[in-house]
Amino acid sequence: MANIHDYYRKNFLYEGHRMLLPGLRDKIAQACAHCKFFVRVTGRNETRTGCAAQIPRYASLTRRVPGELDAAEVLKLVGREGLDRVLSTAGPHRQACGQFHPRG
Amino acid sequence: MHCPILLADMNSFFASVHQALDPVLRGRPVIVAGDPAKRHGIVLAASYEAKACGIQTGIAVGEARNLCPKGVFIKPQYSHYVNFSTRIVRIMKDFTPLVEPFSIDEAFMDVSGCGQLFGTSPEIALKLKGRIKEDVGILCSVGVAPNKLLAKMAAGMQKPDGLTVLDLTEVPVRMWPLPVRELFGVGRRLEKRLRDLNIHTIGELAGYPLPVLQKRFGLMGQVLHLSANGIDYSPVEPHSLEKVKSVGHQITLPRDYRGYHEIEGVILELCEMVCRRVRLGGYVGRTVNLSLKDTEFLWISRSRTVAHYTATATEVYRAAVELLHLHWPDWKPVRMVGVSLAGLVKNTAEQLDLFGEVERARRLNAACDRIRDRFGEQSILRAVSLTPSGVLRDRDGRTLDG
Repeated sequence: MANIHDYYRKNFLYEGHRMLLPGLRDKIAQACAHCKFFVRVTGRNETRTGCAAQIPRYASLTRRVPGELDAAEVLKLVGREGLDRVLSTAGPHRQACGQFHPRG
Repeated sequence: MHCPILLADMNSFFASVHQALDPVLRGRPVIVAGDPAKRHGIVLAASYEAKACGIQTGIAVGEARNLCPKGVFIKPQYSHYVNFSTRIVRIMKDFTPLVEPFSIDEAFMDVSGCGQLFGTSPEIALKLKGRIKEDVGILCSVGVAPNKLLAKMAAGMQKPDGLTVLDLTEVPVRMWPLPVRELFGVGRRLEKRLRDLNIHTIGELAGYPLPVLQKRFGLMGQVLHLSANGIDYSPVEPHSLEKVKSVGHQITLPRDYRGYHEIEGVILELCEMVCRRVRLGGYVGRTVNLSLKDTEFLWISRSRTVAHYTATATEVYRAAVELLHLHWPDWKPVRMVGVSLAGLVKNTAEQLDLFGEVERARRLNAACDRIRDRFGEQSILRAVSLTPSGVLRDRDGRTLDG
């Protein structure tokens, strides 16, 4: 270490004591845009982004998550409240959540 | 004084997660502990109801059962903790982008410049506590201070569900009477060395002549002196987790493993896990490190640098096994083993070979990764995991059929 200024500038006091579970580091450094569940939801008038992990059929990963979902299909699968949840839980720059799964 | 730094510390995090997930557990003494049969038998976390019975983190499960016979013992489920932790960080990032996760249940926030949006620092702390309680169902203690060190000290002063503002002017009254061990950055060994200098409290450390501390501890002496006076210039670094230096896994074995043939299987499993995570991050590495602990708790850690950057388990395994044969006698039992890959760089270019081995391994890795992405980490395993010495198969309490 060169001097005290470097010590603080490089955050050594905290870097040396940081303790994280492996999966946490992988998820916290990511955003929704890098997640497999981040999809486009197309409606009649507009296209928005949403989180497919809110739909049980896709959350279990037994079915391939498509890049784009039809809003009517989402309505059929999870109802109005579910659609609201799908649309409100994701944003391209939002911090990835616990269900983060990297895009293949 | 301006206090823009917050530290939110979740109370009894692991136990609180289980209480949030299962309402039946609320108000009951929940104890999160490993399985004694697998030699993981210590208490990792206890709810405040269990702490009232005298349960402390780190005590043996048997002792915990004696102290709290009505306690609900739960095995740790790390995927839940990671899930909750990311949800909490997400809430914090709704207030400010300057969030630095410090551990699974703690994170620093710098709320400078958020006043117009959310109010003063204590108001933001209150809102944050409310959001975490409402959305995640967990209580937290928040420390509000002008720097990270004081925020960390403040968060520990009032538990559970506390909110403590610690100003620089309050340091002599609230910090100096505390034992020196309470100061962030002072561990057991450093405490002993400070005791040799007749320093027992933070106040005594603050008043100790700086040249003597510097002579004795070098740069750390200066840091200790500043810390004891409540001074810390460290920034809240939101990108700190993006800098990955090494990736590693270690495991305490369910029994003492004897002979290379047993331990090599576990090393291969660990290499597979390490390389999977290295590839997920888009890295390749060169320095392979092998750590081993014997039954007397004596451990060694040895590393070697391979010729080319790699993220292939077989190559890392080859280096790890060489280290094993070089530094660990065959007859010596192994209690714990760890493998890590360091010297990581972004995987931008790859050294190919004449006969296409590297390309073949890359394609195999890619195929396995695709299967794991789609069906989960345990969907494809090495055959060694199915042998009696395999340890991966029932990690997280899951087993595969067939």
